[in-house]
Amino acid sequence: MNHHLISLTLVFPLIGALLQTVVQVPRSRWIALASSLAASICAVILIVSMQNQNADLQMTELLPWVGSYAISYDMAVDGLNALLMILIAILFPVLIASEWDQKVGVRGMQGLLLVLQASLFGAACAQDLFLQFFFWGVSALPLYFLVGIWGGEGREKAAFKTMVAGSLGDALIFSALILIYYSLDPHTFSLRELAGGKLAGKEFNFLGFELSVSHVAFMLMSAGLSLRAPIWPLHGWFTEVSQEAPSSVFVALCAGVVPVSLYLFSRYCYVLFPDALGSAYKWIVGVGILNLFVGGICAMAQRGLRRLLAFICLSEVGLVLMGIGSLNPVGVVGSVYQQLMMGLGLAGFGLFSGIIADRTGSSWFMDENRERVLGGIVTRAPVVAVISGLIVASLMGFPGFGGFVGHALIIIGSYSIHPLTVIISGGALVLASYYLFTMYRLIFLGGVNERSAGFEDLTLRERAYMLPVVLSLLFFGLYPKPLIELIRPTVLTVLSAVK
Amino acid sequence: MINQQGSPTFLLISIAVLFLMSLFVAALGKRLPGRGSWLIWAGIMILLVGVGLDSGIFLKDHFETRIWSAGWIWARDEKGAITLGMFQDPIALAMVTLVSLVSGTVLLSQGAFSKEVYFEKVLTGLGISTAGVALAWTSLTPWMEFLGLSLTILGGFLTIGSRWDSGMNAKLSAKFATERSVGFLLAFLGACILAASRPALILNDPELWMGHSDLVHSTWVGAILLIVGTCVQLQPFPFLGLLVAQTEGYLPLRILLGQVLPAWACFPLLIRLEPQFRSLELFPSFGWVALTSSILTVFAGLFQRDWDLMVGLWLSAGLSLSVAALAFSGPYSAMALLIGVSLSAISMAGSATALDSEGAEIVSQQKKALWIKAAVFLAASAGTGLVGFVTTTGYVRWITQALAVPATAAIFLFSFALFVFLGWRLAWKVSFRRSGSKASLAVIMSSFLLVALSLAPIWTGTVTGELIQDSPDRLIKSLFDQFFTTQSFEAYRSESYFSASSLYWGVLVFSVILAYWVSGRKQDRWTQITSFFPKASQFIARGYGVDYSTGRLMDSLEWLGRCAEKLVDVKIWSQWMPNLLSFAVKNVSDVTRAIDLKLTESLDVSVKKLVDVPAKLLQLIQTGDLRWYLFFALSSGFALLAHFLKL
Repeated sequence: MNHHLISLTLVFPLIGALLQTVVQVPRSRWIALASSLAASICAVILIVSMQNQNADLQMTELLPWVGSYAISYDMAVDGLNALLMILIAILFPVLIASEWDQKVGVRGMQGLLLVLQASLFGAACAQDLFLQFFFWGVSALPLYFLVGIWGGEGREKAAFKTMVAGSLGDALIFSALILIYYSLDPHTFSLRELAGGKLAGKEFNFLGFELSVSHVAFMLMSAGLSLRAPIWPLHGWFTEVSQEAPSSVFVALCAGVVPVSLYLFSRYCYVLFPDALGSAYKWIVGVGILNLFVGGICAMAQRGLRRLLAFICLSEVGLVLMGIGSLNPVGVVGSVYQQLMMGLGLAGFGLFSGIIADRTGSSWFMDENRERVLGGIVTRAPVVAVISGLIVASLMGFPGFGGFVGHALIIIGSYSIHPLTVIISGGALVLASYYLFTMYRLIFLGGVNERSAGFEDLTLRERAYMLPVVLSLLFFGLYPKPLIELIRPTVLTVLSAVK
Repeated sequence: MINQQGSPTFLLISIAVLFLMSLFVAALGKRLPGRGSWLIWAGIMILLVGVGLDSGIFLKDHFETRIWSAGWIWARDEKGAITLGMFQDPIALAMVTLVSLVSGTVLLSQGAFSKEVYFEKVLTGLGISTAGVALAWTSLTPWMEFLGLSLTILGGFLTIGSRWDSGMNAKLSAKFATERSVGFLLAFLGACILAASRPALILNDPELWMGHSDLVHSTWVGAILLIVGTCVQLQPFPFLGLLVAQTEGYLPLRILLGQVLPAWACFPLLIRLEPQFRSLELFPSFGWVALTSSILTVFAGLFQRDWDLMVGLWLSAGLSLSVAALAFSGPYSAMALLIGVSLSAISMAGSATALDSEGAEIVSQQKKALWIKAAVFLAASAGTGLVGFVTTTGYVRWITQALAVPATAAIFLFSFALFVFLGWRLAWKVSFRRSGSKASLAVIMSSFLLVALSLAPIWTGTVTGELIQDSPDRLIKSLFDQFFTTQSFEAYRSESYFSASSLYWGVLVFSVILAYWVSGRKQDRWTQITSFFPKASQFIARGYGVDYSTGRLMDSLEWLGRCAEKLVDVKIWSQWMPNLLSFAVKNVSDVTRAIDLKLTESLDVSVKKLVDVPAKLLQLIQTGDLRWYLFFALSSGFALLAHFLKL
């Protein structure tokens, strides 16, 4: 039986985006928010309706699309992608609300954000490789325009770099797709049919060499996805976008697109290439720990909130990769959980840094001599300070916040397989506490100066959109059980295939 | 094993109520002037009532431990379990009562700090920290303990940084938060490693731990990180950063919320997991580290010129001593030192702050000053183990046990002597202040109340603090015996009672006299001594340069970060990659051009060769005369004719 809730999560934002072309401001804003919220409500209903302790794909929607190439419209959710649905559902209405007062081309911006929301929902739920690739490829377009039109002075260069990195990545993924498609007879793109190590042992001939399909496809896909997620040192485009993109767009990138790319990577690893994962997990953890540590060290050197956010994102990606490579139920559940928590944490960080940048004129909190240029905001705007403090606490993994759950599970899960990396990750967490507290002191504490003198506290609208992020961080930190019960069966099933 | 006999419901609810009331004060404190302190008072009273109700049930149930346990993140019966749980046993109930009383007593002296600009922040910090410590002592799992510790750190951060508009205060509060977070993260990492390698970590179940002897290395690593992370909260050497920094704000609050309560919040981990750590043979080594740290901290205190900094360092040294006592002597001595030294430091700080050394009216206030000075001396006595205070039993037990190994005994006695010396130096320095006081009766009373809480009869049931053999001075049953049922003192005390008590008296009296000789007279001899080597004394007073070195390390990491960033952004993406790409493109195009040229040339030659013969022929034709045309025409005609004739 087909459920249509997943399709509704795609249809509502797309209708909203189409309406942006015909409806005038201010009605268009309400339409954008309403359509994004409608999709989010569908996603939440979808997750609530899912059965716990069920490893199967649920809420399936399966229709033929291009019959001659066995491409189908196959959408479903399970433990691996359910949390991403929640993340996207929370994130996009918040982003649309945060751009409410956008002066230039608000309809275009909100329309593109809606397209991005639909494409990310699609990429998260698609169970057909071609369909997934389609949605994933589409998600690069709105980002290009959002950065290129609404970005800062160097927006064109940044947008171009984003597009080039994305296109290169997509080309690599597409090559892998073709390889996979032709390796099985009958040819298929269906993840369901390819699941469980069906590609294991398949080989193809290239210039006289016999190569393993799963290993080559795994490498191509990993390389392709690492160009979209910030992996050190391939993240050059990412830090540039962090400087040039509008706050909401960069938040969409690091809190929406990056977690989805990590999800795609984990699904490909566990579902498509369990054999390749078995031999590459140490590399994944190695890349993860490199990201975590270098991200942390680079974050220490930052003087601006945007770039700091970029490097925190880099670190968080490293932590998730550690969990993916742990091949341990606790670690993998942690990595899936952390995808949600990093998204929410980074979204919160990005939003409050956007608010600070809007009010003070820039996101720099230190000048070139590393002297403070902000300060004392806590006395001017206590609500901003409290909310920022809560978000920082979650990013550091303090108990009671979502970050704690993810961090604890990943560390526990990774230790039994990679003890040394866990010790190194401890060093990275210590660094995080240093740079986050330093940042907090320089912005919020101390005497008020010229730039922060007129700083006003959150408006009602700002409180309204920050609230879901902070509440989610607290709620999922204090009561993670339902979500973990949702993830666990799927993780156990996919891990059994690896073992 | 966990046996759920019932939940410590009242305790749980009362902690939650105190926490919520603190949040309420934070949110609405300014709008309810003067009522914030009443709300925190009410919260603390509710906590006391909760303890009372649960204690009543506890007594009724014949000391049956009550447990509330719930799955939180990962199921209890699986590897890597992360669960929540609370339990009440005598020590938990006693410590929750103590922290409530201490916070209540400090609140009693609010007249001294109610004029703080951000008074509601101080109140919030006090409430949250008290709830945190209560939660920590009743935790069944390290995860719950971490929750309590985090709340305590938050409370300290709010209070230390209550004057957030001051640059120095901001720096101090951020430093406090960073240092404590680092400690917390290390302990958290240790707990995670233990959870990864062992069954569920339950704080009241050492048998569960002992039953699994596999993965010894992991257990070692985890336990070491857990102890180190916990010890960071006590701020001994080398974590003296905040203690040697200049500070602002009300000193007793800084001592209570910045040092005492974080130490109390992390100490349950050490006390509860003591059998486990001992089974790993970690404790003697950590005991030595703590003892050395205590000695170095005392020296840092001795070289301070600022009394406020000195008292903080003295407290930190005392807390280190209690960790060493735990390692060498056991939880009985450790708890005795922890309680005695902490209460003494808060009381001493409160008293010293209540003295006013400036103003015209101080002469008329000298009677109050006398009382305050008496409180300072009582506090010094309480902290340094004078007869009748809880610390006495801690020191005497430790000396008695240490006598078995003379080297340990000698070093302990040395550190004890230094500690007593610093404590009494603090008291003598206060006594020689020409001062009066405008402090209220409540402020003065609170200092005495705090000292009273550290009296030996409350904890040991004896007047002298178990100094006399066979305890003929026993008034009531010992509370400590309820806490630690396996520690029978009489069994080993009888053998070395005389030596131990002689040494105790000898060192104590010698140190007190020495402190008087050095600091209790008009000229401070210690200051004179230190003036002979100013650089070295400044180096020690600044915490042995650890803070400076840490700063340099952080600077180098920042530099490394900038280099890594430059490498990627400037070098790789803006220089190397474009250069590489342009180099590649240029070379490919050069090669292509060269091939194209070659091809064109060879094509030219081939074409030339190919067209040469027909061209010559055509040239001949072009340049030839008519007979050749005729010849070709005729030959062609003949050829055609011959062809058709054949057909």
